[in-house]
Amino acid sequence: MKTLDRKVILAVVGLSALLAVLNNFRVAPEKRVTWFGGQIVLPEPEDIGR
Amino acid sequence: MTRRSVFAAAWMLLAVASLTLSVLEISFPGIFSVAFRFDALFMWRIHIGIAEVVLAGLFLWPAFRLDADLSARILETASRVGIGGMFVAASWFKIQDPQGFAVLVAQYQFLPQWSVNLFALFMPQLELWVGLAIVFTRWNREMAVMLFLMFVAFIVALAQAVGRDLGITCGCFEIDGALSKKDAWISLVRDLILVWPTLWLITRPNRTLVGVWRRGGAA
Repeated sequence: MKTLDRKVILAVVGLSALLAVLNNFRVAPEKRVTWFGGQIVLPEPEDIGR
Repeated sequence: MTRRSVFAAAWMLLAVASLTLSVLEISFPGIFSVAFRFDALFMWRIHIGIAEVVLAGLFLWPAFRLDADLSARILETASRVGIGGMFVAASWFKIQDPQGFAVLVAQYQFLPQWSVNLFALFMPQLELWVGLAIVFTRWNREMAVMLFLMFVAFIVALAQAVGRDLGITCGCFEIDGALSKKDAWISLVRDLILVWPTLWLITRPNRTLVGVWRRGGAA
């Protein structure tokens, strides 16, 4: 099997990372996220077991 | 074009249509679904979707026997456009609302908490650019490997969500309805179907979609 071009993969991953950072500045403030963290929102009781 | 090629193309079109229908049936029953048109069948839509996948497989067999080269070209084109387009469509709402998507990612309780927001920012961009690249560039194999790895990650995340009965929505194509659906296993079935054409694409040579149809660009 032919080898993969790692430079292409790295370029796409790098481009995605860069645009991900820029996108967080672009979107409306209420839709931005902090750089580290994440909030788990538990399901409503009526949804459990559906 | 020989008569064998015409019949092979017809079988391939049936196979692609059947596979497309199965994905719509499973993931977007509101858009187009056999089951959606008949209330009594709606609860069987996953079974109908899986039956359509089996049907697609049965259509592939005569197509490849009649003209393997043409069938492979059609399958490659349809897989690249279909899967690439699906990833682009799936990425769009997540890019517009990182906060909403981060909440969805957190529901999986799969990633370390510090990485959830970073993942919610990064993954939609990766989906968008890999989806575009597999359609519009020549790097088919590199992009197919990345799509395959993403599918594997989604399958593992969805499987653990189903296994732990988290009762969460997939968050694959919409933010609305998060926390109120229990459709992770439906998305798991869809991903388990689509991972196979992605795996097959890895075996195809690097070339543009136009190159797929050039003379001499044999399978």
